[in-house]
Formats: sequence, structure tokens, C-alpha cells
Amino acid sequence: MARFVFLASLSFLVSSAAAQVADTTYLREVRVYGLPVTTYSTGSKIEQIKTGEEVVTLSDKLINETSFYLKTYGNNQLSTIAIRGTTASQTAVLWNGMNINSPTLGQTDFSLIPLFLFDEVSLRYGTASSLYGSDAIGGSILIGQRAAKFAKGFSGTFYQQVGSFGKFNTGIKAEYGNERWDFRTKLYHSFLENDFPYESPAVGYSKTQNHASVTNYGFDQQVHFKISETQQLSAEGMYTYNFREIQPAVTNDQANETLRDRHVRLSLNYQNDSRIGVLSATAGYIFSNQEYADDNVSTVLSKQLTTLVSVDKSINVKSNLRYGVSFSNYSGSSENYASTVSENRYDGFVSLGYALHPFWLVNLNIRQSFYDNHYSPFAPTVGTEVHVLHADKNKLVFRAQAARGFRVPTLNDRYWVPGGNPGVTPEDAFHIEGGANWTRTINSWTYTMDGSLYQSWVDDMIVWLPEENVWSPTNLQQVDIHGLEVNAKAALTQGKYQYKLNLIYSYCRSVNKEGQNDLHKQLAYVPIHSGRASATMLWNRLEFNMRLNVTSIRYTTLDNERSQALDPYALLDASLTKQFRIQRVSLQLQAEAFNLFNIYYENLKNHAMPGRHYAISISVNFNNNKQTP
Amino acid sequence: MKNLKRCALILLTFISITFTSCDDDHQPAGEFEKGIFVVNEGNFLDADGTISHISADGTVTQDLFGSVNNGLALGDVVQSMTVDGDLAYIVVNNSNKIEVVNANTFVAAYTLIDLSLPRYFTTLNGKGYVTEWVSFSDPGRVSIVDLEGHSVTETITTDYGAENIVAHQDKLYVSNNFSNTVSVIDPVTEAVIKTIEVGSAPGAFVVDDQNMLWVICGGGYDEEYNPLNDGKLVQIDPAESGDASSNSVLKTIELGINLTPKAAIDKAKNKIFYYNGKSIYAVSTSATEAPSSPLLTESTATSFYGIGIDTANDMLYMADSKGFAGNGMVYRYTITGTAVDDVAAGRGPNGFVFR
Repeated sequence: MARFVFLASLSFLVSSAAAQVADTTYLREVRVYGLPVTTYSTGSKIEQIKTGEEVVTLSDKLINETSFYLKTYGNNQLSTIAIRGTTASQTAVLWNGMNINSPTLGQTDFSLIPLFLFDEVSLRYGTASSLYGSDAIGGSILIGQRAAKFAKGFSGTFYQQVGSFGKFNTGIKAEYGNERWDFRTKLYHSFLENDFPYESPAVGYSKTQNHASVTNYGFDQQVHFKISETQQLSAEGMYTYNFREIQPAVTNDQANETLRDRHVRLSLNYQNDSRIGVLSATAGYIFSNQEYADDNVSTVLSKQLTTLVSVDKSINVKSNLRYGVSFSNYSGSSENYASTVSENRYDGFVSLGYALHPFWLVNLNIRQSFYDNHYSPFAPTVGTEVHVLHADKNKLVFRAQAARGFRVPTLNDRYWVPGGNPGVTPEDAFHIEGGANWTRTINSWTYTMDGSLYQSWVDDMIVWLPEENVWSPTNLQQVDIHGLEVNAKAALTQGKYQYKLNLIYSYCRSVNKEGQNDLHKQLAYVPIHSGRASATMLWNRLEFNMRLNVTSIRYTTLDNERSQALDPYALLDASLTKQFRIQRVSLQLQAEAFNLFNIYYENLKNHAMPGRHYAISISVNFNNNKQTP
Repeated sequence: MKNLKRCALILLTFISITFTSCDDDHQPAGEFEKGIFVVNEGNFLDADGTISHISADGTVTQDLFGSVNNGLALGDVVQSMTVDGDLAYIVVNNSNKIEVVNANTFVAAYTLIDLSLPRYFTTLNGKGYVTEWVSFSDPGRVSIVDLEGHSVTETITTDYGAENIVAHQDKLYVSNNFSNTVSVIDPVTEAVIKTIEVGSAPGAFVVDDQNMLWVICGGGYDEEYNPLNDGKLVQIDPAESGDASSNSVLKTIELGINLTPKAAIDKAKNKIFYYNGKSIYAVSTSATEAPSSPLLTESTATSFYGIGIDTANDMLYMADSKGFAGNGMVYRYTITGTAVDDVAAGRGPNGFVFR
């Protein structure tokens, strides 16, 4: 067992990292029950977000808790991400290690990812194609499930929320198992009528949003089996259904467009810790069916089959090595493909973590991808961390990283009829960043300061332009991105009272350097400034939280025309939470208020977002586990 | 309350117009009585379509409707604008409406709602006629608008994708863009009296110096969506339009390409201009073949999206949407193809109105 507990020499940091899970951490090893996972992310900025027990979309969670900008096509509508000034396709989204960005469109709709079905979300800032493959240019988002407990007993959660504009969210979770088995079942249902009132300057009078209702439901089933102390088998199956009326522009009254999404995600994972290292083998299948309907229905189907095998080996006290291969088959069909399109992708990757000194760590990752008989750009990453101060109450870490990233053109880019361009090549990015994290505890105060500076050059960016009378993609654009992120936290404990203050500021310039026209301008829908502030007071299981979201002007056009830009906004939310505990049952009551300033704002030109609104929720948790972590 | 205020504003405007016209016959009826109007359709779903105005002295006003009407938006996909008398009819495709404004001041007058993907509008004998796609699976139609009562009184089904409409010699001609036909409508019986087969994807009409009607056809696609390169200009004899059995097509000029079916005719009405990508072509109405080379190719353009000729001075106007990434641009040329200047436009400029 000692091997498991201290797999890496780097694990002297594990305890401290584990203690600040919700914070920005640079942990390189996540403890799972017996089977360690090394992250090989030395030098990069990583955040974990609490998935909690609420029925909420990943989109809303990221908007509330990070400085990422999400372009939402209305309230609870299509939502795409722009991490660090990159496009919606330049963020890798991984589920159990598999990239789940749509192979046809190359991006993820974050409003379709229900956090209730996932336990863990990890945000990896910056380019990391060496670890996560295609699309990992601006950042990567890893979603998955926490490790099995293998504890005898039962635990269950019931969650119910009601809120303004016909919000009705229900979730049920159960976990049951013993020393060898662990079963987990999750179900949720979510409905939003979305008939909020608004007064948009573009229509000049007060209106009620029509045709924007959203129905989502889904379930997740996991079975974990501990074959032996060193072997584990895990199976997961997930089904999600999303139906939405597509929220029309404020000027449009007769919308009838709807979107229906169905996703099936299956994965089987085997882990074995032996002399050669920790072997992890995953087989996954992802099926998605999207029906867009106006007067007609058009359907896009895609299937993805992935197998992923890696070996993680602790060579000696100073070094860790991981190597592996993956194979994926993607296929897609749509009215706009001549026939069903199918292609294979192969990846080979190697990672090495090395401690030059107990307080100086370096990391080297490399990956080579092949797709459809083409090479992707060779993607290395070099990262380092120096722990300058390492006292319990005074820690200072400097980090730096350089990486190359890529994005394989989507099936649409290559096979769309008309206009698809089979000759379009992968987008190619080079990225450097540096940062520091300082944590200081003085008496009952704890301060954390984290800062990052980054610069990326993204070349061969794919742009669709009208050629003759057909739109077609080319590797036209080059974008220079630089930015700054600062996160400051302070916490004070005074007797029964606890106070927390959290400030996030991010500055991002994402500038068009090469392209058809409008050079040296900020990319559309990338705010230059964004900030979050949150203040929390805790007393006797009663928590009061206020949260401010400030987002600067966003241009909607590449010529940065001010009159067409979206105005900056500041949203103030507040919540009051009370927890009760009666033996094995814990109960949480929460009241939330959103957009207290009652501001009219937009995230997509002329698409309304709701003013002040409210929600209340109850969460009941029963736990009869013999062993609770 | 807001509506009341707007009514009061409109009333005031009318009063002032009445007064000014009493005072002095040469006084303009409004700041925007003359000039060139650029229709900018905007980005699909962004509802940012606008009208730009270029005055005789070159002053450009962007988003004319918004700037006159307290920042109101026209809506989603501003397809076309037609002026009749003192009113301008702005057809907003994906907002399913026509925004009617005072053509001289651009103050909002009223809105015709409940249309189904409307495209183009014309008037004849005091009635309005608007083409509507209806949907991508139903045949298109023409709705007859009571211009006094501000409502649709009748609809006439034509063929798939009812697009451009022109009133010519007391008949209405409708090009059915998802099909290969032109429907002829008798405005008296309010019925389609003839359906003329032209070419795939017919669009814009022009009338030549012999009063013959021309329609430009964009060309078709095979089953794998490869272009058939069978775009054409088709000359129609309006004298044959009353007889359903006779052949109305006088002549067809094969263009050898697929193109956006938009065209304009010069002041002398004997030369038709069309475009493909960044290239502009001119063909004489007496020709039987398409020109082998373009009149000009604009290397700085991204891709043309609209064409117009100001017949007052025979100046050629070309709209470049710049791929909708930002605002578009208008290029001006003499009728022989010499560049004059360029003017900034709104997002996705697709056409012009000259007054």
C-alpha cells in the first residue's frame, strides 16, 4: 500500500493540495481509493469547482463562479465558452478522459451538461494538447465522477428547487455498496417556462419572453467493482435529453424553432496496479442526436467510439512516467453531408514528471495525433514549479509553462455540402504563461493571492467566408492573445463566525493579426475585462452570500463597432442557506435572488436575459454509510 | 403609454410636413427625402439589420431607423426596402413583418405583422403586394396588403420560395427562388394566370429599353450539391403573359456559373450587370452569350452580396458583406467599371434604394 500512498516523490504536496480542493491548486496527484492518478500538469493553473447537489447547468455554474465568458443565446439557451479569448471550439471538454466536443460542430453546448449528474469538474487553464489532445488551446474542462467509496451502506439525496418564470428542478441521487461494489444512481428533471418580462431598448416597450421554455432530464448509472486490492472495474452509462424552444431575438414574435438533443454516453474502465505501473484502460461510446425543427426537422447524428490505454509508473522517488495510446472512431451524418462521414484518430502520448529538487518540479509532456491519414501538429508541453516558501502558514509557488496546441478541423469544416474544405488543416497554437500563488495565514486570517500572465499565438485559425456564392472554410486567421488573471481571497474566522471574500479579475486581449479584414481588433464576444466578487458570512450553519459579476463591453463584430457592441453589465446575486442535521439526515434550505439590480443585459445581440428573479430549494440527504470520507 | 407617445410623435411629424409643404414647394419633405439607402440585412438571429443613408454630399448615416426612432431595432434579416409615395416599406424576413416608415423622415409609422418569412414588397394601384417564403417546405405566396387598413386581405399561392416581385404593365411577376418558375399574377382577379419556367433559383427582375422583363437565375445543384453552373438571364415578353399556353420566354443567356440571382440595369436600359464572388459582369440585352471575362474584379472585397445602379448618374453600387464578420462596405464605380470610392455600410449589406 505504501506505493499507493506515496506514488510520486511529488506527493509531499498532496496533503496541502487536498486541503484546498475548491481553490486554485497545482496538485499533481489526486487521491483515489487505492489507485493514484498523476496529473502531469506542473506549471499550469487548475481550479476545481464544487458540483454540489443542485440541479444546475455547467454553463450557469461557470458563469457564476469563474471569470470565463459564456456566450449564451438567451436564458438557459445554447451556451458556448470563450476561455482566455479563444473561440468556442478551442476548449477541450473531457468526460472520463474522452473529448466530448461534438465531432460535427467541434464544440460543446454547456447548457446541455447537467452538473447534477457529475461529481467533479476541473478547469485547466491554458494550452494543453499534450495532455488532452485536439481543442485544448484556451483551456480544458474535465468532468467526471469521484472515485468509488467501497463502503458498506446507503446514502441518498433528494433535491427540489422552484423559482421564477416556471423553474421546477428535481434531482434524486442514491449510492449503495459494500467493500467490493459501489453503485450510484442519479436522476434529474428540469423545466423552465422562461416567460420573463424585459424591456429592451431595441423594441422600446415592455415585453414578455415567448417561445423559450426548456425541458431537460437524464440519468446516470455507475457500477464500480473492486476485483482485488489492485484492480478495479468501473462502468458508467448516462442518458440526457434536452428540449428547448429556441429563444428568438427581441424583435421576433413568431418563432417556432426548437432543438432536441439526446446524448448517450457509456464508458468502461479497468485499472490495475502492478509492477509495470498503474494501467488504465477505458472504452467509451458516445452517441448524440440533435433535431433542429422549424417547419421541417433536420437531424444531425454523431457517434464516437474511443479506447484509451495508459500506464502510469513511478520510476523512482524523483520521477514519474506515463505513456499511452488512444484510438477513436468518429462518424457523423447530416443532410449536409454527401453520405455518412467516418474517420479514425490515433494518439500517442508520453509524460514525465521530475523533481530536480524537493521544491523544484519539472514536467514534460508530448503527444502526436493522427487523424484521417494526416498528422496533427506535434504537441509538447514543458512546465515547472518552484516552491519558494513552504512553511505551513506561508507558501509561495512560482509556476511557468510553454505549450503547443492544436485543433483538428471538424467534420463540418471538411465535409459540409456545400463548401466543406477537405484541405483545411489543424489550427496551431503556441502558448506561454507564468504565475505565482501565495498563501499566508496570520492569526485568524488567511490570504491567498494568485496571479497569471499568459500569451498565445493561434495560427491557421479556421474561418468560414463566402467564396463565389458558397461559404467555405480556410485557414485564414491568426490571433494574438495576451492576458492577466488575478484572484485574491481573504478568510477570517472569529469564534462562531466565518467571513470570506473572493475577488477575481481577468484582462484579456484577443487580437486579430491576420485575416480577411479588420486587423488588430478584439475578437467578437470576448470581454476585455471581467470580474467576480463574492462575500460570504457563515454562522451556526447559516450562510449568507453575495456575488457580483461584472462583464465589460463585448463587441459583436470584428470591426469592433461600438454601436453594435453589447453594453457592460453588473449582476448582483444573493443567497441565504441554512443547514440542519438530525442524526443521519441533513437538510439544507436555500433562498436565492439573482440580478438584484434588475438590469437588462444581453450575451448575444438582441437576446434578452432576465431581470430580478428568485429561487428556493430544499435538499435532503440521508447517509447510512459506515465510513464517510 | 409608449405607443401613445409614438402616435403623438408621428402626428407632429405629419403636421410639420403639411406646414412646410405649404410654406415652400422646394423645401424637402424630410432630411432623408433624397439619397441612397443601403439595406443591411444584419447577421441571422442577431436582429441587427439596419438601413444606411448616403446623402448627395457623401454624408453617411448608419442605422437610420434606430437613430431617428430612439434606438429601436428593425429586426432580424432586413431583406429589402421599397418606397411608394411618402412611405418606405422595410421587409424584415426573420421577424416576419414589414416596418413602415415615413420615407422622408424615417419616423416609424406602423408595422405589418404576422407575415411568414416575407422577402420583397411592391405596390400597384394603391395595393401592397409582399412575397413570402412561408416556409422551406410549403409553397411561397404573395399577400395583398390593404395600405389604408394596414392588414393582409388576400393571399395567392405561387411556388416554392416566392422571392422578388415586380409590377410591370398591369401584371405582377414573382420569381420563385426555391423552384425554377416565375408566376404571373393578374391583380384584378387576384390569381396566378401563368407560370413561366425559367431556370433554377430565379431572383431579381430588370426591365429593358424594349419594356421586356428579365429575370436572373442563380443555377441549380445536383444530388450531391455540386453546382450545375447553369445560372442564366431569361428575357420574358410581357405581351404573352396573359396567355397560359404561349411561350413567354424570348431569349436565354447561359451564364456558365452558379451565382447569387441579383442584377441591375443601367440608365440606358440596355446593359445588365450581375456578379459572382468579387467579380462584376456586364452583358448587353442584345447579346446571346455571357461575357467571357468580368468587367472588373475587386481584389480588396471579400465577396459581393448586393448590386444596384443609380440611374440618376449611372453609377454602379456594389455591396460587400465582408463575410458578416463585421460591418460591410459599399464600392462605387462608374458604369464603365472605373472605381470611384467606397463607403462604410452596416452589417451584411444586400441591396440599395435610390431616391
